Amino acid sequence: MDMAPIPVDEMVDGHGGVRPHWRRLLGAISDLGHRELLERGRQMARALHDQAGPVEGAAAGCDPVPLLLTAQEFARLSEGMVQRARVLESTLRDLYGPRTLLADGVLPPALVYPAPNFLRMGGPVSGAFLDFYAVDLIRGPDGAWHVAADRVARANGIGQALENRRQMTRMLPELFAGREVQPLSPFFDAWQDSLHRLAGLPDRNPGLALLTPGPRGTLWAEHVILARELGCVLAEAGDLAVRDGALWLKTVRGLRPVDVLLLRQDGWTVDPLELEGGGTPGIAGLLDAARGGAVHLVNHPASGLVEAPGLAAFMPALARRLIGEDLKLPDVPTLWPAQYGVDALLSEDRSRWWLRDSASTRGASCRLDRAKDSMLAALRRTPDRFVAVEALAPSVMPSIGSAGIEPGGIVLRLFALFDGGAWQVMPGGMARLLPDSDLPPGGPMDRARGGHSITKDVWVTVEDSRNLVGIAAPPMPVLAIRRGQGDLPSRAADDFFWLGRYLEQLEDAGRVLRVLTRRVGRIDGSPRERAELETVLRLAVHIGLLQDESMAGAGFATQVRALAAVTLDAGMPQRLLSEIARVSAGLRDRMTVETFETIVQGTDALRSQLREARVTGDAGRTLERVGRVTDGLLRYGATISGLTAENMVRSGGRQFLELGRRVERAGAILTSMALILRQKDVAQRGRMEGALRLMLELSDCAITYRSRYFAVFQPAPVLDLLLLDGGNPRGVASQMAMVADALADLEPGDGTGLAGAAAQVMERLRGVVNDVLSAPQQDVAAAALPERLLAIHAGLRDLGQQIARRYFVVLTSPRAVGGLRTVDRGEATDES
Amino acid sequence: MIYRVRHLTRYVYGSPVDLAAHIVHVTPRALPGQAVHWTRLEVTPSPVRRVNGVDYFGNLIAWLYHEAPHDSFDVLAESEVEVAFAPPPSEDATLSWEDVAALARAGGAPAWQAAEFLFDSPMCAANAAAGDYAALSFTPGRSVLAALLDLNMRIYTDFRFRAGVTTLSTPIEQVLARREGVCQDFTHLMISALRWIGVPARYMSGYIRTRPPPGQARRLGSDQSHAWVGAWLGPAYGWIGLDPTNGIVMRDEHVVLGWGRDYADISPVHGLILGGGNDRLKVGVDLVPAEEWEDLPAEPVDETP
Repeated sequence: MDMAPIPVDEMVDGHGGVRPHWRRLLGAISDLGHRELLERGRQMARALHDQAGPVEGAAAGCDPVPLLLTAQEFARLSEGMVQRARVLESTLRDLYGPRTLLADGVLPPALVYPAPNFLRMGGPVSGAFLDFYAVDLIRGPDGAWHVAADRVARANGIGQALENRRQMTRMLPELFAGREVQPLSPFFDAWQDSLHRLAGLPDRNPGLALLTPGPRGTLWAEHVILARELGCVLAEAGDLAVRDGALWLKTVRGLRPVDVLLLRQDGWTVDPLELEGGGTPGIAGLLDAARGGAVHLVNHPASGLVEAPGLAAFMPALARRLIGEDLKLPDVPTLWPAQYGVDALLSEDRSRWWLRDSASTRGASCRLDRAKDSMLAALRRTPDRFVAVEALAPSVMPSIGSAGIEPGGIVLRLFALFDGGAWQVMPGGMARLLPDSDLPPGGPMDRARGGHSITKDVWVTVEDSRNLVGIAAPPMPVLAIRRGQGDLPSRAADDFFWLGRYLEQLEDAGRVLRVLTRRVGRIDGSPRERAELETVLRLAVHIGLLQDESMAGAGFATQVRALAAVTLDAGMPQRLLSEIARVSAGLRDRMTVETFETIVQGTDALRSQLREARVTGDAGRTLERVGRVTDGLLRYGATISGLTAENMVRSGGRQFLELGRRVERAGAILTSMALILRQKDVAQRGRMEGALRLMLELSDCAITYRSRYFAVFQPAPVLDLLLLDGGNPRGVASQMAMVADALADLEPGDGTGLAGAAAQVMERLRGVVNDVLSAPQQDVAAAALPERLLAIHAGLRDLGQQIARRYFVVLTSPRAVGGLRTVDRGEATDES
Repeated sequence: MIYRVRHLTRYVYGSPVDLAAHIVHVTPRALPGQAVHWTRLEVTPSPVRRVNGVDYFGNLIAWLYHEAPHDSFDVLAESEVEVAFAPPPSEDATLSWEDVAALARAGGAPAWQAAEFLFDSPMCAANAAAGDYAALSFTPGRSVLAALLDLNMRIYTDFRFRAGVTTLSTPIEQVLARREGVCQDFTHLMISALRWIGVPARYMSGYIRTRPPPGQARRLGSDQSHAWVGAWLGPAYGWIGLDPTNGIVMRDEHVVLGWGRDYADISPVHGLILGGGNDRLKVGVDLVPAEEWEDLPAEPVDETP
């Protein structure tokens, strides 16, 4: 039996000596020590988590030990990579054109026709197929790097690579000490320049967008980082539309042209009109628009064809035929069973070969010794639909494990871009720790398949320290001055609006809860106190905080138990917090890092506080915990309000957040007043006084009132303070003033009538207060108000809907008619 | 034979459609044996953008975009087409089906285009049950044409034409078990069988001449879209049209719109709409010898499911 080949060690040579370029790093690592490195690693993981938020699509963790490449080794790799990019571009040009590779028998039909990424388009592709390219490399036991996968539609991970470098620089400066590592930023500058060049607009600020499936996609973090870095809008399919042969982004200011669209999803999903579609939403007519030259797609969705695993067996032949060169960077050894012979393949050491779908990266794959009979039967029937890939033992290098420094196999990913004249390779990249469970080289490594999500920074060392090549910047157009929310997509505006509403609802819940906790256990049975409690309970039920009012007459322990139920996962605060997490994750690219991290950390902390609060036993202790949660809710609201007021760029959607908050808050004040005034016998003096006190308490205005009127409670002054006094920041008038400000910011001159609608609300409130003030008996007049207040509240809700109609597209998805193009292509998971 | 073809597709929407994008496959393509004398396409309401072109398979298509609210959508295609497809070669002249299968699989100069129709497509994967059914016709060493004609006749005799018992998504196994269905089912069944056996097979879309019942007048819009199979006989003889629904070979009673790997590649009208609801679809087709066209009654089109 063969001896299993021994993997190469990246750090240690064959004689047990540390390779020269690793020595200094190894010294720095030992100086820091395992415990310190582990802790720094945790800090990096936390920082990455805060970047992504408590949603799926979090960035992967970064191991503190980077992979080192000498400049010489990197030069060899990039030379090979650039050559492959040229071969792949020529292959695409041929297969989507004259197809001489098929006609002359260089490639078998089974590599092309069954490939899901072979797009049957109605017209040729103009311009380059590939502008961006990534390659996965494994160093085999022979010491040479082998290509495990070419990535053109799935060229993900460059955002992660950049983030890893940032975290490493921040958290582990010691490792960089005294050495020069090639920086990544020139590559990103060049990338941005190349996108501007593709837009081909000398005199206009180009519209760049990145199409993403959204915050639920597994690559969300990657997309956010990229969009930020490249200065492009993060757009979901629903934000984009083809009109009149061009691609447009729906924004709060109407449609804005998109000149370059970065695609990061399977090619067949991008245009459900011309292609088959699938689970991921696309944009109807996109290919038609691209053919007309109105938009450039990066990469062209048809280019995914060259990811077919079977192509590896033909790369040397393609290189010779298409560019007349010998292939410099070999693939992982690959056998083509249709030629090699199925019997010959089966007589190999089966544990060393993987069977993969020859045309699709998403097809079934399995180690040959574990292949089921049905798979072997399929192999015999259609050998050209399979390819055998050697299970190459990857090189190993140290990583910081929980118990100590552990060796692990790695795969290296490098990235390259076409700058219009030549390919450039990023001097750095992302290495990924391979999981212990077996996976085919180049196969999917997403978490769903048990893949590790630990990555490593990749350092290319600088041999000659003055060897850094600057990127010549092409002349850039002078940007037109732009203010206001520019191309804030309608979806983002909608999200901001709802974020504001949710934050306010949460704060409102906190205020009601505070009033309730103060009253629980203080009931001495007086009818007035009892009626007050019932009123607050009715309000709590009305806003969705409690299920029913049954605790009104119950004993202390039962009341506390009922109150503690609000902390449950199904309770209103948890539900709102999860909505806030969801919505803010979608807005991550539109907030400052500090704002976003504060929201994420605050949300996480509050959620765990809620979970801990429900540990019951002693009623008194439980009540204390509920009290602390209440404080937490109120503090959370205050913190985020403060942050958004000071820290968020005004044009970044803050107006919509403000609109959401203010409309919600004004509504909450009106609702609580109406419900309080609905109390039985409220027109009686004693009751009315209690009712007015309660209103002030609920809206946090008791102190302000006392400072003006001392302890005399009369309806007109209370109503004036709560409804009309513009100097009271917690009253309706200030809310409406802020609504008017935000609306005026959005549409100076107001052609929309929205400001008028807001003014009308104030007009009606003035009527209310005047009527009470001039009434012979204020108490009686106030008792008759609930219906009027609720009607004004309805007017406010109407205003909210008008805002939605004006600024947010009706975000429905188009329906397919005719044909049958919803074909299940298997798991539609993004993989990285 | 010269035919006049009229194909109307009408969507009536319960509530207005705000935005629509469609691709239509309703214009017959020219090919050996089929000459298109004239053809026209009328779309109501008039689209804001219309692009004529050919799809990947060379079929004639149009992209139609509507950007204003509308309550209905009409696509009316009219053409005059002359058809006279060459008779099939003699059965003995064609290669054995095994040789045809091997040639197609190998690709290269003689077969690289036909090879496309060997592989699974979204609606027509090679199917073992269908392949087993077909195996009776594909005996060892038999000429490919003899085997294909035999399979075509067997489907015609073994299966009953019955509308309404199947849908576009009815699986092949169910059609096989029930032994009934419509032209699409028989076409998909035969394609799935041939792909299992290894003979390239494609989906033909178009129309077939029908005759009114004896003694009755022809009714307007009474014909339908039709589907049949294109099968590859090897490099020397190329493609043949086989109609398992009628047990015949394509000669002068079929008019070809175009072809694809299966229905999804060539559905007559498909698209994406925003809005609408409670949509109703009417399709009316007339295929009449050109000299009888004047006899057609000028009634509004019938509603067909």
